[in-house]
Amino acid sequence: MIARYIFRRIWQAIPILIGVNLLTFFLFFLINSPDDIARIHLGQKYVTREQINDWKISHGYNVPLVYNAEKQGIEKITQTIFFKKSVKLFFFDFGPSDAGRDIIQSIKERYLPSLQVALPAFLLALSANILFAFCLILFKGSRLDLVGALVCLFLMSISTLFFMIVGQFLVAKILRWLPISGYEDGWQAMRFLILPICISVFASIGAQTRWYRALFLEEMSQDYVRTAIAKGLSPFEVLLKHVLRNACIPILTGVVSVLPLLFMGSLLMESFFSIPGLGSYTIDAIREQDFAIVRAMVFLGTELYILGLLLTDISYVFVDKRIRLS
Amino acid sequence: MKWIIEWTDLVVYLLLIGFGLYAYYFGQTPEWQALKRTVVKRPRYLVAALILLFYAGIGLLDCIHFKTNTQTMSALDYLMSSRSVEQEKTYSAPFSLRLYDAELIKKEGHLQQVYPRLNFAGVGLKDSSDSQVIDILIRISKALGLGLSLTGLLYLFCFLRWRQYFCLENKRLLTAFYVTSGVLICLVCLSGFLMFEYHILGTDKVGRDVFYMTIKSIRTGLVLGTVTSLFMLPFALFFGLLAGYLRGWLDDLIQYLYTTLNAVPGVLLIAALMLSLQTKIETDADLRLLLLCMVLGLTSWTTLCRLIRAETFKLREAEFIQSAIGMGVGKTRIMLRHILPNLMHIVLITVVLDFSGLVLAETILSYVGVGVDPSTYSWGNLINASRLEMARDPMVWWALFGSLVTMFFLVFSVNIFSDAMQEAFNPKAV
Repeated sequence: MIARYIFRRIWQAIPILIGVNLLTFFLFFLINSPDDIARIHLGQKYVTREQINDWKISHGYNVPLVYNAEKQGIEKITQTIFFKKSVKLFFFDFGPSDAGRDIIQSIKERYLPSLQVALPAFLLALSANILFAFCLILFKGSRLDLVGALVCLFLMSISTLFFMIVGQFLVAKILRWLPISGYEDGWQAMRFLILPICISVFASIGAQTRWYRALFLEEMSQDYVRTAIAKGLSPFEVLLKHVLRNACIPILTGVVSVLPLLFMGSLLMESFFSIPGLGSYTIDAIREQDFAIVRAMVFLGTELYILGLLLTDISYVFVDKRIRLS
Repeated sequence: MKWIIEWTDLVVYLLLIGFGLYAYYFGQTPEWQALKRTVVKRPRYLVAALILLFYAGIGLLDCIHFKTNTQTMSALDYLMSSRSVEQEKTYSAPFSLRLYDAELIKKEGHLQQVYPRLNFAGVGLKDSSDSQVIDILIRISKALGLGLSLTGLLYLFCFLRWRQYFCLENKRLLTAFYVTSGVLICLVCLSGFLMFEYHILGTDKVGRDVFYMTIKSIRTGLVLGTVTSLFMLPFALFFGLLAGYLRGWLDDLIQYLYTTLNAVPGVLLIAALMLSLQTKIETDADLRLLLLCMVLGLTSWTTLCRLIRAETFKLREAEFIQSAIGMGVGKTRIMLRHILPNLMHIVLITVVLDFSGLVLAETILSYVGVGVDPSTYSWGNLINASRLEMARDPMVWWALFGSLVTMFFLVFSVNIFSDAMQEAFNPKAV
């Protein structure tokens, strides 16, 4: 039963992947011709025709876009940019970056540091924010609730970039507790990871606590809560036993659907604290206009997102027995 | 002097006209009445609304451009006249008379470390800190005097003429109104008295006035927040209505469209779009701002579209729609006349919520390198530059401080205002 369900969900995801694939093809090869890409990498001006052609040959851009009339048989289709650069994305064959390095190799080297930052930050932020929201709800209607909500709004109104700049400045430069930026392998990495993790948890407080608070409030207005209070349970018990459990489903949706994306790491934190993960890899690629890497990352991100959706659907089944696999 | 309209100006004017028409035709609907009532219900909503109006005023002043014989300037540039062109050599601290860094100067055969005087700050002043402090104090007291008397005039005027219209019978609301407008008026007076004589927020690396730059950034932030919604709304409304009302294969197609767009992680999609499109436009800062708005609009219509589709779905079964169908009203007419007005509260809440997100996102996009043009004054560019300034020794903090404060008050007010909207349109949720 569940295997069939999973199979059907994967089947439904394929059109989306095809859509994203066509979108990236359209953006990177139809709007910008391979000549444009070559020109960007060779410098905008004073580029000769030969240089462009050489660059295209060495990076595999020297074939027609969708249909190669010069070749025979199946090669009419396979010897095209669409097949070599776009279709192969489906099979995780990302090819070389525009700078020449193998993208898959880079991803293998870089996913671990990404996870080291993203996973603890995510889990800490999740538990901290649910806890904060819980406290606010516990004192619902009091001064504390109002002040807490305003503080959340306050934190929400400040750019993450500011938290990073000031956090780095205070902790690393003035207090000298932790290194300013960088990375090492093994356990030594801890020293470098604490600061980015803390800052991303702190930056998440505003929006997330507010979100969880709204979620709990929504649950609180349900009839069963009134019943539970009427039968004599203390508000704390109601919150812990009834509200939290019922709020589980929306929380789970949020959590499980982003879990796979943690693999891609955090764009900002990694590049800001020079952690050699996938996030900083992507940012460097964007800054150097390396279209091959950006294309690969867009596709990888989409695949992970769809994986997240799939996991969410499956996790529903375990949490809420009422949901049937139809 | 010749009036010119830049691309973003044009869009902003169109937006204003559209909003005016909307308010004219729909201003009497229960939703708007509820919003008006809510804003004057709690002091914090009123304060937020006033601050937003203040920002909008500055932004609009900056959207009126004209050409003098030498350069193109906006009305705001004109008001801040000299500050828009004068440049010091390099960094200088707020209210300082001298440069921040020492220079080596040959004096009587020896090399000496000197902090050179600024060219455009405290020009007439003697070279002692006492006279500077006294001068600043005199200016501040003049400004406060003017500001407070203007506030007094406002008080008198409102008291005599507008009392019944304001429906501010609540004492706390009245206090909030006068205090906020008083503070805003005083701020204008203070900057008016101080900015021409001192660099209120110092200067940046190439000697531009940071206060001027932060004020100019307001326009970029506002344009980004509002124009994006202009690009987003047609997609969201059109597709959402069609999918929700007509259903069938069209619904499937539109659902597929927004699921696909939604599947790509946000920043990556924006980066991919900006990277591939920016090679096609000329390096015009104004057009690039418009392009950024367009890209952000393209990537963010999906959420609203989904909401509208769901709501249309629900409304379609409502009795007043069914009776309209029974009376033989055409599909287009039903969608435009009967369903669309009933969706407006969702649209307004989403637009306001998105606004604060967009202003914040601009800083991140600038950091990633796909934001506004580096030559545009924007908070993102300022904060980005200050990343290096904080790392240098002695550090330069004023650009970060200035952009943070101006940005914070805008985003904070918008966030509070969106709470007001939630409360007005959807009282159950608060």
